[in-house]
Amino acid sequence: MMETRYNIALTKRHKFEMVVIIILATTLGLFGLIQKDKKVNERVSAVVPTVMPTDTVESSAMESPDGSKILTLKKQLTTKNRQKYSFYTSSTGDGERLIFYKELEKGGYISIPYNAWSPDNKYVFLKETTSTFNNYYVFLSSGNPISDNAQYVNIQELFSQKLPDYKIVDVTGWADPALIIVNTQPNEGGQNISYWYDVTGQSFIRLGTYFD
Amino acid sequence: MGRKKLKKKKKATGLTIYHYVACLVMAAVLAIFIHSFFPKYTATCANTLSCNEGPKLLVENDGYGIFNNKKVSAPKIDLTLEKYKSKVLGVNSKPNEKHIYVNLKTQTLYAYEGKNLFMKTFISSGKWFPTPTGEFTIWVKIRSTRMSGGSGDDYYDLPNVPYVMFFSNDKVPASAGFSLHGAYWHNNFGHPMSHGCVNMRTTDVAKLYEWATPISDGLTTHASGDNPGTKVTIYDGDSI
Repeated sequence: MMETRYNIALTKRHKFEMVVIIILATTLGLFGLIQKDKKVNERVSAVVPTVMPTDTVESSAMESPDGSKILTLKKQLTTKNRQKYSFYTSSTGDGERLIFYKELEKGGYISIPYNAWSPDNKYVFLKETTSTFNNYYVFLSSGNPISDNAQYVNIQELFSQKLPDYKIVDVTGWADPALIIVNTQPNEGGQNISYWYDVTGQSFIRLGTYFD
Repeated sequence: MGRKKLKKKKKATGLTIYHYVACLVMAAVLAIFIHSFFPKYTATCANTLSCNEGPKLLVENDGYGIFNNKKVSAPKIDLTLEKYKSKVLGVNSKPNEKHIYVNLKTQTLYAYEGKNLFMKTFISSGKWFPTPTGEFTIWVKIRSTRMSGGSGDDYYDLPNVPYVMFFSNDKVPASAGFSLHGAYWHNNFGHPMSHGCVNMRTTDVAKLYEWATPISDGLTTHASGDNPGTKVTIYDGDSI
């Protein structure tokens, strides 16, 4: 009699164990299937090509997104091993207008980023690569001074003054006709942060999303 | 008597490996059964407001758009110029040789005609809503339309969106409104920017629009059996 009661008790316990196993395994299985559905596609930022000057005298260009204007780079080596950079804008049928000229020591260079033109063709930006940091210059495509005091704005200079705890990783393009996307990284490490540089207000707007 | 006791004892000794396997199998079947009732990827409309009306030709040269809480000037479109456009080379090739590939990882579009590369260029895919992946077919081409959607700071209303090629498949229906189209409001190609569509530079999309099928027959051209749409493969990988 005791053995029978013992058998009944054990069988009930086994049944309970089986039910618990089924419930746990089902929950785990569902969790796995849900996570599979939520799989996040990680996208690696595309390599944005820039027009890279060679060691010879050369000319390269980037047209505006609507094709109506062109930004041209002309690079010339001098006898003193310095590089002369000249940048021109032009419209179809019009002559070139010089917007920027700079001489650099060999080792650094200036390039036209792929997304140099603002969507409304009003501004262009250039990238100067040096051994220490990059400068990003914003100009009016007309060649007129961008402000009363300056021909251009240097985003790197402004950024380091206003946000010294961060460093610019890249400036990729235009979020709208007056907002440039600036991707940054904290100097002490941590999460990357994107800003918009507002050309009209000359201010940086921190974004909640990273624009990689 | 002893044998009976032994048999009873055997019955009472606990679960065997078969019990555990049976439990796991039952659990797997149960999980799959329950999961089948979960909603799958639903391709909600790419442009949440304008897609309710369906895609239609709209050219609005006197208006302006809204993007990033600012007014945006839309490019004017002169439809009288359309008939003077020269044919793009290869436009008369057999439609089934053409194929568009969009690599979401590198934000690059490739257009092939057989093995010949017609175009390689940067695009901007979905930032605020993912661009769907898979094999699609262009079902209609529209020279210009209005797109609107989002809400709050993300609200946008953009007239004269140029060179729109809507694509679909059995999982992403035509009503979801995903398309390849020109984007005049930003210039950050090579990086995700859109609400699901594939944004292109206007100069690039104009060429692609003329090259891709259905072969344009007016300002709005629907694909048909005689004039099928080009296949579009959208994938998230390292290479084709």
